Amino acid sequence: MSSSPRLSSYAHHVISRVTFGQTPEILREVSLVGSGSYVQRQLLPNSIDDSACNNLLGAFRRLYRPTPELVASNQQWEVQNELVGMSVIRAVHSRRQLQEVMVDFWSNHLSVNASKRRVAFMLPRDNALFRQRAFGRFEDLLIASAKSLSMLTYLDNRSSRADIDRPPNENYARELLEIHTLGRPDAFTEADVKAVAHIFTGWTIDTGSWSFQFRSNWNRLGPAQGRNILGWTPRYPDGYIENGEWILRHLARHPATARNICHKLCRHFIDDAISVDDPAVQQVVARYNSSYTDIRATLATLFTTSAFRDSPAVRVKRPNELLFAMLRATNAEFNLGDVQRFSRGIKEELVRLRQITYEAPSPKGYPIDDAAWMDASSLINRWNLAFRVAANRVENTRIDTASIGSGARLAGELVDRIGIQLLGRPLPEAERRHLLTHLGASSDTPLNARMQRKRAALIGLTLASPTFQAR
Amino acid sequence: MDITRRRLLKAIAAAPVAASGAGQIAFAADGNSSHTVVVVFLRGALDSVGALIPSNESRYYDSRPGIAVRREGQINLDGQFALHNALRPLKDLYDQGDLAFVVGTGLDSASATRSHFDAQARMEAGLSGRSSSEGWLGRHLALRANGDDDVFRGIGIGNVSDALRGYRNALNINDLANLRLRPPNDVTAGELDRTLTSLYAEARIPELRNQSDRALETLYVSTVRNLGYGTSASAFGTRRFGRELRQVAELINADLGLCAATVDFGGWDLHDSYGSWRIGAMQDQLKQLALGLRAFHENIRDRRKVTVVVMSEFGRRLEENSSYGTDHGKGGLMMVLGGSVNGGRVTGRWPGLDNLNDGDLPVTTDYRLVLGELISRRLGSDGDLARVFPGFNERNWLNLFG
Repeated sequence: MSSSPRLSSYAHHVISRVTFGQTPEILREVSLVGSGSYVQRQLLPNSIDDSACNNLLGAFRRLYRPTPELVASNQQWEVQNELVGMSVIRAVHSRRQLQEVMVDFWSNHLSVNASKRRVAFMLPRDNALFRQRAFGRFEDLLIASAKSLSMLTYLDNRSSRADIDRPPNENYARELLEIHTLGRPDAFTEADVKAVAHIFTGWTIDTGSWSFQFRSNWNRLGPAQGRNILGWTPRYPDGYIENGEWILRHLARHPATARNICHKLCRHFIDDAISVDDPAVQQVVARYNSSYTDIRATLATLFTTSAFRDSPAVRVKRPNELLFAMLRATNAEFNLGDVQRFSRGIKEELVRLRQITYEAPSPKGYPIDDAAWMDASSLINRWNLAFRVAANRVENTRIDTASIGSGARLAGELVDRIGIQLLGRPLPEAERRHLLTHLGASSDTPLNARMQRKRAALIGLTLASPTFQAR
Repeated sequence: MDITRRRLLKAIAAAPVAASGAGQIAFAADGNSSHTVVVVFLRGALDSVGALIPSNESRYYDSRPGIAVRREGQINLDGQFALHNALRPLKDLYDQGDLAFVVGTGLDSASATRSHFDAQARMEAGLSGRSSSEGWLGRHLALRANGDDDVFRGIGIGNVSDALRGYRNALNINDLANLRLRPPNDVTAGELDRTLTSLYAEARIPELRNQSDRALETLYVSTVRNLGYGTSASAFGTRRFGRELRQVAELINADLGLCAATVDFGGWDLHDSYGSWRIGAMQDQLKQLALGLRAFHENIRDRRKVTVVVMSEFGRRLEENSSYGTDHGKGGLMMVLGGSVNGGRVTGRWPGLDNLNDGDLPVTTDYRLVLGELISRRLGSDGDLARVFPGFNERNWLNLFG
């Protein structure tokens, strides 16, 4: 087993927040360059070589087919499964960890559901948009989302028109205001919804090329004409896409949006209970505003707040984070010979944990707060996941049980070496003691055959421990 | 009492008693609460007029040139209203008198909103004009808690719904079969249980500490009672809603002291692609709903002790939009199903489609009038009502429960 460098507890904290879980490689890098430089590098993902992960992704041949071919294939179920499989590979194997954390964050904030008809066919391409823009300006991300085929389909804007004797579809307009930007239903009125819905009439899909299309002849401003909408008024007449693009920029820079986005980032990266009035949130909001919604700058500020520094291990890993961290910590190998079978197997785990990638039950996405994921039976599922990983029961996934904690001669050494591989450092004293009790040994008892046989249980218990569950 | 001892007693109490011949152990000795309520929440807003169709009003057909259900797709109930064809499995339950519909239901005017999330939050809180960290069912369960509740007293299928919040022992169940520890081969569940107990007794995050106690207790009871499946899988079908109702039916039939269960059924936000009466999203959703409810009703051993309430955050606009769908509206529909329901009728006040409010069917019955009657006549007492729905003073019951 490789010796792991000793890092400060702050470094461990940073790693637990900006990645989906520590690995020996990350520990080495952080020990060499320091956690600050590690985060800086993570904020510039294109500077990080990710060819090893990309090679693995190549196995998902179906997902690289052009959208029209996917639509024609009509294999929605298969595509849906493989989207999940591919996202797990990325979360576990990409060296651009913060980028994947942010892709998960944004695809949850601008949530679509892949099980709605045809949405899955659009996601391979749309997901790349989130990856390209994960650290760009929020306003550009918002525009990309508004024009993405998956969002146009999921929230129905693709069929919204104002040139016939029927009202436009209000679905996208409402969720744009309530969830994607302002974040509060009391920040806008029903008349705002109707006006915004008119502005987006004609934002649709060309179903020949399966690309975004603006049909100017479907577009009428109607009640939006000359109206002050949340401090902005359309400048151009009917039939101009510019009105929609400008209101998206305006909304992205609206003070309520700044608060909503920055508070959500702080809840995710710092503490789900942090108040919107907390000085750290205010600091992050100020940077968001001064940088014209630049996400890289906003995050860089967030990671330097004292609230971030002082929040180690207060959060519980969300279910997908827990799965990714377990697979990373155990250095799990995936059998990608049949990506469909692999994807189904790994999706089963997320189904059990109630957090299936791209299948959040509402446009609100999955909850951020820990309490929403913490109840008795969820905890049982989490424990069982730990035991499934330890006992090699996750389909098409293998961990090398014998290598975890290998070379130990004493009971205490075995528990510590397992801790070091799975957590990057030994378990805290109390938890360590309970595992020794489980072994029926004290720290300096020489390992015997009976204890060696309990290795899988020890691995499982370490993954099930409160320390591993936290981030 | 220390945790382990409490858990042990709980396990003994939950052990099957058939061998002793002593009959059923009495769980939940509190008042009326041997009655179980199952709340089915249709997330996304059910199109009430498309499910229970005002068959004779021309305005219905005129407002929906593309998606109105023509008469050939309707099942007449009482001459005035007809069911969407996909709800056919419910017709027998209605005819037997076990199923009632309440029209024009929804949030009171102080709470009215067209936001799904706000409307759901306010409805599940059960208060006027605001949400809360406590839900109406949570308050009801907490009110009648005796400090050492059965683990399965209040459950949410798939997740603990907001209605159950405030009852700290609410349990989420995904699959009854998952309520077991499945240890690696080198260890027994008993050994794991002991080590997990000590590992979590000192967990720094309070939520982990609290829930672990509950989780270990749940594991005890479900293992000792060998919780599993007794109902027929085929009756409930393979779709999610049916499978979830089956879990509730199993828990009720196992007699584990279940007082309240919530089931979420999503996918009702049909702004487009509504479909026709024979095919499409609305047809499919309604069919799942009807098949699930019917299978549930037929598989409950003692139907008189179980009531299902079906509700949704609001109704939808009468007028069809440019996407062959409908946008957010107001007046909704509730369904009440059970062996002791005064069913076989459509109740509530129907204003008629010529009396719309801003394009919507108005709300004529506060949803709490239905839930309030349930609390007062089945789950608790009049005294409980003021604390479950504070500020709600209507008592002109619809006599859904005799």
